[in-house]
Amino acid sequence: MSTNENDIELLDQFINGQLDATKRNEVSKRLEQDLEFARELNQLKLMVDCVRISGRKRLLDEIKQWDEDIEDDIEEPEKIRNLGVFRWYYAAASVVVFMVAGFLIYSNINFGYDNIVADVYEPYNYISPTSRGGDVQKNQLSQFFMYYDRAEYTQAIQLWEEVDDAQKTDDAEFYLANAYQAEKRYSEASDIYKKLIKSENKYKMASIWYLALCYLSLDNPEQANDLLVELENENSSYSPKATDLLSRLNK
Amino acid sequence: MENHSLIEKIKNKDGEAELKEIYDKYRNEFLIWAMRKHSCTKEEAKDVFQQSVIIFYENIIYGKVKEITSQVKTYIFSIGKNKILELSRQKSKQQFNSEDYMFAGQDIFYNDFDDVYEEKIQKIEQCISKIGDPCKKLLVEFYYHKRPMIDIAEIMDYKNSDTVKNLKYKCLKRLKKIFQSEFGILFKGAL
Repeated sequence: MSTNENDIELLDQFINGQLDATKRNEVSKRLEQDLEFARELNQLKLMVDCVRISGRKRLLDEIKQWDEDIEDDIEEPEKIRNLGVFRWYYAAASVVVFMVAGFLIYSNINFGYDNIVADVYEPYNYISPTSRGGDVQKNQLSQFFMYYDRAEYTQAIQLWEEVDDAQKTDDAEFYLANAYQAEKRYSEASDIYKKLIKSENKYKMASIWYLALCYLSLDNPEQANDLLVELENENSSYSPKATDLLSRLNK
Repeated sequence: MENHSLIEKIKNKDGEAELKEIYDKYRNEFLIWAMRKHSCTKEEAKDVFQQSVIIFYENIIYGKVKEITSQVKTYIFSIGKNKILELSRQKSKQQFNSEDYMFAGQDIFYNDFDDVYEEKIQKIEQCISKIGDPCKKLLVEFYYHKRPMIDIAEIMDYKNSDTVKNLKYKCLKRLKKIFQSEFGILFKGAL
């Protein structure tokens, strides 16, 4: 049986799934019985695929044309631009950078003040509860001290935000500064210590000591030295510690 | 732009103008994103974006996507992201995982844009080019862009859809002859 224009239309609709179930069954039956019709379908499928590939190529060419009309001052990031051309130089340079960085880190460990500070630093001992009450705010402050006592400084700092401002006394802030220092948040700790020193708080001597340690941790030995000298001259329980530390620093 | 009406606009005869608008709108943003976030070269980023826009277009016209639940930009960037991953896998000669082709619970249909495609296309292009215009344009409009006969008649300035249907049959016959001479026995028989 030969195929005609209507057969091609039928096969087109068959390929595109545009036939209803009855028509589709009819075409399927005929495909089983009519070899020429089946071959026609395969050939049509192949041609349609090829036309589609060609269509896509045309569209891509058109898009490339659109692209040429777009003003473009976008530049590749430096690292990408250089990567293709200087791939090996880039790799070699990376190795050098890592080596230098490693050396600097190593140097800091060995030549900074971290070891000395680690030897003498311990967070201020929490001795007695300053407040134990029934209301929520007092409980939160109690919890802050509980965390501090357990050396759970991160939690203590987080809880501080929830403590009522009225409960945030200078004394309590001294422990907060200690918590910051224990967490290596030296700048925040220093700010509180400075405030307490200025206000002549009962923790003034302790604040001078801890602030000196903060300065050392921040690699600022000059300011640490001044504070330790001041502390050495005071009649304080921290004076012998200051003397000892000064002698270590001046070795 | 409303996603539903955008799909309809892309499907109609002015669809390419809509596509161009999308291309112009997101092109630079995509390039910067692909270069900065995925370390593509500018040329790679451009290629990927162009392919992504075509995939987006084909998914709509072939009815593989009937509704876009996200923003058009998100959808195209997701296609682009997967194309970039594919590109980096090709670079590192790793096999890809089909699970990466899911986006917001919705399949994104991917078509070949690879070396095999590039090889095939040259041979096919030669065959298709031999039928010349208007046949080539008509077949591409009908089979690739899925335009209805009536729209093709309007675009190509023919009397009506019957004229287009008739011409399409003649064009297929001509193409078949060319394929027969190029591919031989596979195309034996008359259309």
